[in-house]
Amino acid sequence: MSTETFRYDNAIVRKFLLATILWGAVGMLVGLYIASELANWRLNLGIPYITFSRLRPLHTNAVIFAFVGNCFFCGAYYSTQRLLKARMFSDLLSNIHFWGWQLIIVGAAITLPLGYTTSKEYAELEWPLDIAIAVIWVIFAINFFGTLIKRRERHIYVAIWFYIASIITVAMLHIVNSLEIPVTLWKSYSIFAGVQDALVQWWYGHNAVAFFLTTPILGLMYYFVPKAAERPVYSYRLSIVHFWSLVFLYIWAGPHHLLYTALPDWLQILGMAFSLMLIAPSWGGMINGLLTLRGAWDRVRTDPILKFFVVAITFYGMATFEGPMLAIRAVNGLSHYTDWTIGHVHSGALGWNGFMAFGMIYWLVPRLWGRPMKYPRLVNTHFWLGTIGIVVYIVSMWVAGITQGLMWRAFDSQGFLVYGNFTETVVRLIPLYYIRALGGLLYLIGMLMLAYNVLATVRGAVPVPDEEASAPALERTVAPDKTWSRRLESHPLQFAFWTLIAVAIGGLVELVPMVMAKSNVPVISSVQPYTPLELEGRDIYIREGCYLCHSQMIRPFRAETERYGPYSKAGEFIYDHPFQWGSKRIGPDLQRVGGKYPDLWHYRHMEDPRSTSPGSIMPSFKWLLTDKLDTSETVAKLKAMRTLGVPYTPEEVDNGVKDLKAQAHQISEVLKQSGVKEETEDREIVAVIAYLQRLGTDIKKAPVAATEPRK
Amino acid sequence: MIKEWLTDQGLMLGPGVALGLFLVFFIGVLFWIYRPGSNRIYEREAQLPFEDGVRHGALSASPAQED
Repeated sequence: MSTETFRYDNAIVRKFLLATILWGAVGMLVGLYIASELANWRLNLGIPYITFSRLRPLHTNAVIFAFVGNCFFCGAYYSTQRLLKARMFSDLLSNIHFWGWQLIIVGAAITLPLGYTTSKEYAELEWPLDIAIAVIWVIFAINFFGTLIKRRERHIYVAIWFYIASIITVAMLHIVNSLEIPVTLWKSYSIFAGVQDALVQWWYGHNAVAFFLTTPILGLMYYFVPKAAERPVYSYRLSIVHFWSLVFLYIWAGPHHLLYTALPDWLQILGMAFSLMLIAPSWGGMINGLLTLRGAWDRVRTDPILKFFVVAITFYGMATFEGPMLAIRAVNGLSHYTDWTIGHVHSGALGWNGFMAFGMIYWLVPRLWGRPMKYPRLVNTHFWLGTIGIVVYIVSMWVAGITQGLMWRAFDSQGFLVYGNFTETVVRLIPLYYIRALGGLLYLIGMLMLAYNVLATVRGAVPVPDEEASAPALERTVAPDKTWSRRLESHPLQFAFWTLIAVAIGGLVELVPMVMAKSNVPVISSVQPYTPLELEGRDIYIREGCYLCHSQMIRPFRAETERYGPYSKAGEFIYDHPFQWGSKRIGPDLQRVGGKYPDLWHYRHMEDPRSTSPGSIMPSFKWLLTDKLDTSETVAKLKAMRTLGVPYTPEEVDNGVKDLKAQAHQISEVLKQSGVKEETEDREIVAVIAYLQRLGTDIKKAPVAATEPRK
Repeated sequence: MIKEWLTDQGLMLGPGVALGLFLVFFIGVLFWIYRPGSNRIYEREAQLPFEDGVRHGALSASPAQED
């Protein structure tokens, strides 16, 4: 058998490593800024582009897809080549992947602050960027599977399994959740509506956590922890149980984001049950990671890289205990919509993802630039600053979440809500928001220390050239005595196929009946489509990111029905493309806000929220009072909605702008009579008022007879 | 409350299907990993991260600790 000589591509690993640091710093800086905006609303500065609700998607996308994404690609490109004893399939594809991904990130950084958003959490990017993501992901997949095919190592190490599962599942999730109809270059509507859209979104959203923030990083853990500890993984068998159990179970758990909502009970129970079962594989993986350090624990005291890894795996264990706990309906009833969820997410993101990334970067830099870290003590300082920062962050959010959850449900002895004014429950949290910002600041300082240390190390260094390696060529035939099981573990395409089956089962069982069976969404005949003006107002609501602070989903609790009105029904949302249920209540729920206040109240509230709600931390949206409403796309929007099945008649579509102006005139007249002197008829504020005044009012109307033509 | 859970068909259907599917899958994986000859394969695979074929830099100690 001839031995072949080849070179590993280190340049692409270096590029992704530096991109990880750059975007990590940017994402965390934006996170710190929006955390500060919550502590002090004045920091919104009255500028639309830096309002909390426009920057928040930028923060989440930057951290998830730019920081963790580049970290995954960096580690995967390094480890895949070495585990498979082959250079990447194509240097050209590697570079297209790198530059394409960075351009998408830049695209996100430009479009999200401008308000171009689909409003689907962690999938906010509009359709042109969705297509770009799909193309670049396919290029990555071709490059990755091409490398697998030309590999020189028969066995496929478990880290590669996790990479395969991530690549396949992210593609599946992204494509299904991004099914939308483009209206203009930067506007689209989801093909799903209401409860179905919510299920698809959280099937995606939860599994973005699973297959973008967890399985890729587990792959990195199975490669870099043994390398740093200089010991093989504790139990290879356990890693296989970990892999298959995790990929099979994770995909079912999405509905736990929708407990006590209008989602059918069978789906809620399924989501809760699978979430609880997820503890087993997650802790199996954690134990496997930690026990890999057997016999090397003494080195954890002195080696900051191992410290980062140990704390990262410990946070993985904590987060994967907390997650299933929060998925128990009784616990979720308290925690949902509160900062407890934010604390949970950040124990995973800062602790698990961040610390794994930092450990990997500190391990890789000396090997890629051929010199040790310039300031080794700074690595240790980074570790302690980061650890303290995470603890300060998550503890403050736990306290904030439980405090607010308990305040929302507190009744006095007379049976009235103790904190009937929602703002009372917000004001109580402001000191905790300052503490959270402090935790984030400490973590960001640690990140900047890493950036400084890496730049100081690589400055003037000659990068390690593409290293030469040699290995025998892989035999293309499998000996007849090898079993089918052996063949499966050695054949990447067969393996990928079975992985796809494992991850697809959960999605199919949950999504297909939900979308196909009409009984899951009982029809309420009085629910009618939005008027053209309301539709435009809804799009402004989406643009400004109102859903990030206000839910539109009243749960069937007395504390909620007392505060907001009748609980939400699935049939109320059938024309909501996309759904606007939200996941957090920084402000109150808006599902039944229609008719609760006069038009003037909304006008004043948008201009200066504290004039109508003393103590509110909502930023001013005063530009809605001056910016002219763009009606040039109204007809196109109505047509798109009609294509999606919203029963607008052709006449309603054709007369869309005329009808819009008539309704705008009515609202404008009401505002004028209430004392508003400024011109409002052609301003965005009238559309927003029209939308808000419509919310939750349909079920109060008389039912529309089936034979009666809709007006 | 427990009785209600155990007797309510609607409530039990979801967890029942979920648990059944998972157990079948999980037991299958257990049989898989203990198949004959798997010891040798897994011991070999666990060593793969250490077969770079390249020894670049001083790897015996953590580079961050050098200097």
